[in-house]
Amino acid sequence: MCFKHLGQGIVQYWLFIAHSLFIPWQLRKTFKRLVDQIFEIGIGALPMVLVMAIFVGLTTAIQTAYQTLGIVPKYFLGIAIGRMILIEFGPVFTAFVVAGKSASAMAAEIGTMRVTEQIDALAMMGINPYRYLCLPRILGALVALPLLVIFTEFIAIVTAILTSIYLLKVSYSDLTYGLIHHFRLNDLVGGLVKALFFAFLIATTGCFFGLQTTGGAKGVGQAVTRAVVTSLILIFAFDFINALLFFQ
Amino acid sequence: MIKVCDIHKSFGDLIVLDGVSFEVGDEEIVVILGPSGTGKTVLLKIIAGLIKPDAGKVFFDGQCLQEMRPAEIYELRKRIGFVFQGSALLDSLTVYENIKLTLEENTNWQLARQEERINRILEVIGLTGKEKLLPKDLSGGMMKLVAIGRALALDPPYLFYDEPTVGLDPIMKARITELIVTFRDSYQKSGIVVTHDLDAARKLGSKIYMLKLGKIAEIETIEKEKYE
Repeated sequence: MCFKHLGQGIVQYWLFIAHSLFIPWQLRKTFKRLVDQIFEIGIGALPMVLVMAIFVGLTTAIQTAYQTLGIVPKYFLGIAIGRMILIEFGPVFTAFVVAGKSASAMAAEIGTMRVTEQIDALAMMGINPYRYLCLPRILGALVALPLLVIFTEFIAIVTAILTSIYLLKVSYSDLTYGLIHHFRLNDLVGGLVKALFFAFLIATTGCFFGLQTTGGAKGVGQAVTRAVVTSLILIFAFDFINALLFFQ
Repeated sequence: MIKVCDIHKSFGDLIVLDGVSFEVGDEEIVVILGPSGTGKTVLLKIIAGLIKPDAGKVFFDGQCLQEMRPAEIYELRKRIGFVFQGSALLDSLTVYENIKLTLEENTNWQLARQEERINRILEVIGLTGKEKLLPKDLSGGMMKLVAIGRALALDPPYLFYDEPTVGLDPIMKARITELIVTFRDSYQKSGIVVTHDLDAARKLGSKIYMLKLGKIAEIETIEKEKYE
């Protein structure tokens, strides 16, 4: 029974993606809502991402130093900080913040519209709700999340450098040697490509569970929980598959 | 002309509609009466294509709704104005924007033409000066008027009303009833009104049907002279 429901859910999710992406749309009519969504997802998450990035930088520097100093050369600290933040911590932690903030907001907003017949009203106005509500959110997330990831990575690396120099007493030259000379563009690009997939998963699960909402306030609450939990699980799963395929 | 043929709909074991058939002629308003929970809204949503029936068909001017592709259904809906029971206004948009959205999305009209149309609608529904208000700032009656205005935006030949007078004070009830009569008589709109308000039903409909236990029966035909 459980597997049957899961199977039905997966089929419905794919149908939802097809409905949302493979429909005719005009940039002129979608542009304003797209820009709104980029601001909502991107600028809206900026304060939280900033705080998160500072703590990621602090923790990464301290933990890496704890595990490596005295065992390997000091410049290894720079390599490890750079790679961990660019490949893993930047994209994944930013996706977590955006999933918590935006997937829940999308599910709540669309879910409320569903239970108050606003989505039926859109349909009766001759407006496809997938095009009007979901497409701008999906495209907005695809633009906003990679930008947020770049911001996170910058803040986290700067914080990690400052922590290493002033708290851990690692010399600037040791640290930057590791960071700069062992920097690989693939790490940065790979992290950003990962962010694109995370953005897609976050926006589609948020919109999907919003549209699936039934009942009243309780139904909206359930949709929000499902959207956040599912998007987090999908982020973990995709991150694992990505690591398996590209970072072995 | 709308033709509803042998509609069946159940939710689990609960049979809501059990072979419902009727017709709505041009420039005619049909009223469906019935106590709460008898499936009036479900029937109206099936006719509008928002809910799929288990069996039966709905025809608009000879075209079968159940055989249309999704894109064709969206096109058809531009010819139907639907006033929802809870008004269903988009709560993030102002009164003006709620009406404008239909025009923005479905026409290539210049801004001036859209404004002219919206101002005309606001005048008809008596909400000139309230265009900048959000739905949360409106009374139930005013929300209903905006919903009617929004339904009129594309000047559709068909108007569907789901409990248009429910929960309103007598003055607002009379105002909305009068508006619906005006649309029928002066703008030649056909439509379906779903209500449990017998007084309103008699003022609005040329035919009144009763929906009970999933079955429908015509209970009254208002004489043409009286109707007009």
